[in-house]
Amino acid sequence: MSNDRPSWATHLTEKTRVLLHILPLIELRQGDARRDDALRHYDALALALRVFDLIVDHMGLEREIDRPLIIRTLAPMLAAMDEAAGLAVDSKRHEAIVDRVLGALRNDLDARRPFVQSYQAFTDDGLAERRSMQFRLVSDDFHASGGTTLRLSNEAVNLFLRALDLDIEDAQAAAEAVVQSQLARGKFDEAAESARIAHLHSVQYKDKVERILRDTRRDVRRVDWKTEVPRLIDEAYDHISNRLRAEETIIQAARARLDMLPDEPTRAQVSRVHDLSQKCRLRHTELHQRLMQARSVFLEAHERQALAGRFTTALPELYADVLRPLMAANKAAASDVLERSVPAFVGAQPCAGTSLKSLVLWMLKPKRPSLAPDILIEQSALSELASEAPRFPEALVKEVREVIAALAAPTTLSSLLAEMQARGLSIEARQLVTLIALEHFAADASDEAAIEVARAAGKAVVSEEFAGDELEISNRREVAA
Amino acid sequence: MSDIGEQAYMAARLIQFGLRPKAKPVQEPEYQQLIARYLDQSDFRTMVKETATGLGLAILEAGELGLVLSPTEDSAFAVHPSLFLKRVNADDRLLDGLVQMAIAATVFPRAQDLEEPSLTVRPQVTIDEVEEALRGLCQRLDEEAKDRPDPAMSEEVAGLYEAWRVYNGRSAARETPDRRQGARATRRIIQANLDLLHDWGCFTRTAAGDAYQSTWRYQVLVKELAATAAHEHVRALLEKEAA
Repeated sequence: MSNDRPSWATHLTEKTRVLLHILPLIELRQGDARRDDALRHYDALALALRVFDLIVDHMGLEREIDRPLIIRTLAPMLAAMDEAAGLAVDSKRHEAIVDRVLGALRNDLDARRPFVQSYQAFTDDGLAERRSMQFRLVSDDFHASGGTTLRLSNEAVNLFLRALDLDIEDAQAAAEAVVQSQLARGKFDEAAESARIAHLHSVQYKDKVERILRDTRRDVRRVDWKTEVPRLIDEAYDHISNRLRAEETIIQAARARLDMLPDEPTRAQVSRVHDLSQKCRLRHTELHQRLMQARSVFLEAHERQALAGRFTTALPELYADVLRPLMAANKAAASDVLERSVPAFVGAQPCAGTSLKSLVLWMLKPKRPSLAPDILIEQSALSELASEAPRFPEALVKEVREVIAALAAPTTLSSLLAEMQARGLSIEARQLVTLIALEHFAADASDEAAIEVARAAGKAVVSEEFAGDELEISNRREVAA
Repeated sequence: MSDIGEQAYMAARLIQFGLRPKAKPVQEPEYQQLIARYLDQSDFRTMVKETATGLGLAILEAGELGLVLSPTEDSAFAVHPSLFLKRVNADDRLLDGLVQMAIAATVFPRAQDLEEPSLTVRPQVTIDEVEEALRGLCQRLDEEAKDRPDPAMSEEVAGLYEAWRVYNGRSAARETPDRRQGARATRRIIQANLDLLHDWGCFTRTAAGDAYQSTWRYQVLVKELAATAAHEHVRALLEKEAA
């Protein structure tokens, strides 16, 4: 047996594992041909890689990316594919294909569980054995702003950035050195890209430490606090010190360049390097805080779990290990267990105080009427109506206008009302003539009214039905004559 | 104010924010500052933890998304199923508890799901899914019980028959004369419990209103404590029954 077999076996396993991560992407591409006709012209693989790109661009930034932003950003790309296929742009179709792509990357078909791939591995002794690995590509994560955001798994980031077989710390140190060098040589485009990758490595490193702390909180036995984690913490402290120094150097170099550069596009690139390096520094400061807490997290978790004992048990299958036995238990025992268990599922809730106001409002609410089982709505014959119903009938308006037109000489409103009453005209007719008189009082010069109305100074209307200043009414033709 | 007095005041303020499930540090600068102080200063952290312990609260998580507090069994902040929807009837209270457990099981159906990071958003749940889970269990338990005699009347009166029979005895939906959903139907009970969880900041409703999305807070509560604690209670019950 040759001496190089173990390294050959390890090497093969590592490469196999890397390649297996792209299988979901290949399946997505193969699905292009099986999709509905309306969506078949979209290249799902291209869209998936663009989604990766967008998520990477937004990772760790204040505004991370979510589905609506993905749809908006991919719209030009989707429209280009529509155009190439001779189809009109359709936003609903865009949403449908983006959901397909995101669903495939999140493994929606398997309830968003990790992808599972089996592969052939070889032991150091050259024996073949089947192994299974689980990984994610994209997940929906909660964001501090209250919404959700799309995140790439570490595997997906590494896959996408082609750095899968690199150690995180080494990759970051290299990336930062590259930024410094590129800035010094004036290669600002490349420096901006390298700073972006360095930022991602910082995010990954912080996630790594947080994962250890989370696992410790859950079950202290799952993490090797005897040798592995103390070593990692020491390394992390060294790493942070080095990185903070490196980032400070980059920030200083970028600032110096910014002061010297007059050219606007170049300034923007250097400014981006500067901002990203500051974000890295912030990330490392946060990581430093986490590390300072690490030992106390361990001690607290150890104390809680060692003394309580109950939290160190294996995680349960809630259906099989909890719900089913409860359903099968007699109802008194099940009620007792539920009474004690369920409060932990809803968390601490503030005690609701008695509100007299709420009680009174509740008591004052009208009783909800019980509705008849069926309410028939009669169909009415609908007809068009004028927008405003007339106050006076058309015939009456005509009659009153004739009275006014027949005025031979100027008269007062009182005399006109008295004359109309004497002729037996109704109260509505007298109201209408009064309204017409008021309408024409101080009318505009352009108003082509039939009468002219003026106030009779010092006189009042003599009528049992009306009161106010007396008005003098004259026919326009009369006035013209 | 003395240093200790100031720390105690601020610790109580932070706990107060933690008791408001819908408060978010990103929307409340004071909350954000207190979380940062909790993470940065070990003496302040100790003060917050001691105060919380005194109030019967355990701190499960503190970070940029907020503070998650879980009540101890005798805490004044614990809400028991009997207080959920102010049920008078013991069967209704039992059903509320079973439905709560079924909702958690629908969000985290497998043990591996409880190992996922709390930040990862779980799939949405619907009333249908919870109903199907509980009905399916009833069906299986019913089949298993076929060879056994029906429960005696005396057992029924004493509440000694199995919990699944209570669920099985209720219809999934029942329409009232005014065409509303009857409150005693199981689908309506599930909806009432999901709505309650929504009011308590454990779920959000989807825009279409047909599904519910678990919040980060709920996921932390279930994963970090509630699931294992419930399992321990059930194990103790099974051991007691076996003895």
